[in-house]
Amino acid sequence: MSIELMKTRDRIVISIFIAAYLLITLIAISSDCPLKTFIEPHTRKIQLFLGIDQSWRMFCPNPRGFCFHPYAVITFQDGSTAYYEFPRPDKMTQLNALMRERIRKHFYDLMPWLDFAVFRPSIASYIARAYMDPNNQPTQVSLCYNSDDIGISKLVPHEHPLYGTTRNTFFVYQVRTEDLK
Amino acid sequence: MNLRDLWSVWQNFWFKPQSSLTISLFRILFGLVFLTQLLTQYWQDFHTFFGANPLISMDDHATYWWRKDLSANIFEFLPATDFCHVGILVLTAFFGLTMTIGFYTRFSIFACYILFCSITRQYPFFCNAGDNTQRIVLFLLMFSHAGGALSVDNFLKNRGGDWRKAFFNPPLEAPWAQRMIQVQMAIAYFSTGLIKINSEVWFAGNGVYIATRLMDFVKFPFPGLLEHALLDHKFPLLVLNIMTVAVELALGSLIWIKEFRYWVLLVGLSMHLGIDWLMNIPIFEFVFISLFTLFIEPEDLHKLGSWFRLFFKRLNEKISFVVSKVSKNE
Repeated sequence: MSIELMKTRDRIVISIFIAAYLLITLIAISSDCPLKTFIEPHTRKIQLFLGIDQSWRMFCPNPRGFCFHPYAVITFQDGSTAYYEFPRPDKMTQLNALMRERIRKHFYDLMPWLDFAVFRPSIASYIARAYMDPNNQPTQVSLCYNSDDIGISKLVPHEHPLYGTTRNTFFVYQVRTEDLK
Repeated sequence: MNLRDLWSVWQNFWFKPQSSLTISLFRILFGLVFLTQLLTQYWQDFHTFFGANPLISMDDHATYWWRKDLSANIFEFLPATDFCHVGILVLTAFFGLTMTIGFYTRFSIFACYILFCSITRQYPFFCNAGDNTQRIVLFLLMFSHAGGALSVDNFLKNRGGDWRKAFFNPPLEAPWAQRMIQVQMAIAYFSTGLIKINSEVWFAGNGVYIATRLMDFVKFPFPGLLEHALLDHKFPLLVLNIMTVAVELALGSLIWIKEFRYWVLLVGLSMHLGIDWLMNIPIFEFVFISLFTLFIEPEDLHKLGSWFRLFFKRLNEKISFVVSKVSKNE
């Protein structure tokens, strides 16, 4: 079959587009080097604008080596506290876990990690609003998780999961009046 | 080899005409996965992330994340109300449906692309690699002849003549956009495989062990003795670990060699179905499985179609035979 279905001019224009796309993509996925540091600030803008930004790191380089479940402790004016557990996929039915994957993504893959720490005040104030009581307002929200390491030297059986015995408070937020509006 | 030869190889790969049956089938499968995701995961907690009172406000996103990046996001031009934001999701689902059935295909894909870019840009923190893949696929699919076959467009265009023939035997087109999606898929797998090889955990053979113990991902156990035999001993876990990396590398490299292609796809399919059984990573696996169809040759799809036709013809004959026998006995 001949390739003459398209005009030569069209093929050249498309070839330039393909080459540019591949170049931008390969720069994005390549490991850090001086050339990448020089070029990426420019190509990144094109990627973000076109929505073709990418990073392929499914369970790599290293999958997280511990199990955890996040929760919040809300302290009220009178000193009492409330416990809010973020939705836990391991406690859901499979259909529910499928439907609520985005919640899991948000609270398990983002909220506890330092890269996204700037958004913790927004999450804490959202929870404070949810526990709003005009007679006894929330004054503090602590974001915590309970974790257990997945040991490598001794295998954890697949059907006997880890539930988290070590507590870690990773953010404490003092609630402001404007958070409750 | 000289430059002329190289140019010829390049042109053969990207522009040698082929039937758009494969990319059309991919459009349908991809569209179904896309729609499922919108109507389940996106719909379920939409008001937590979007609307008048989201978990993280648009101002916070803009201040700490987007900064001054230019991006395709129509939310920026709409009031932050529940009505407008739900409207965007409903429109995306509508165009997802028209894309799937192939009605005004190119425009539908373009609309899906813009709307999906907006949703994932507006609230980037609930996106996973599956969403990134879908955004990239929509971008590239816009340039393809995805409505060339198995579509309402095709039916409407040929309803005066033999529409069945046109429906399954579209004219030949330059498949460069399909090739780009194929290359993009290969890059994704090869890149992941390479990162895993360079990872301490995966290189030491503990990748599958750790991944299968993450409580927030745990789904079903393997049936019967398979569960204990495969997942609770070091050696089978090590083999699964090596196989995962090998399959990912093969899906990025050996898949281009015709003799290996279907075997690599079969192993890749088994890997994804296995992961989907064991781990709760919904939709993601099926986005990549749908991409596998792009590697099926149109001639093989025709063979498969003929096989199904024959199968159903024989089944029909058998059913008619049994029905006639039963009615005779009565």
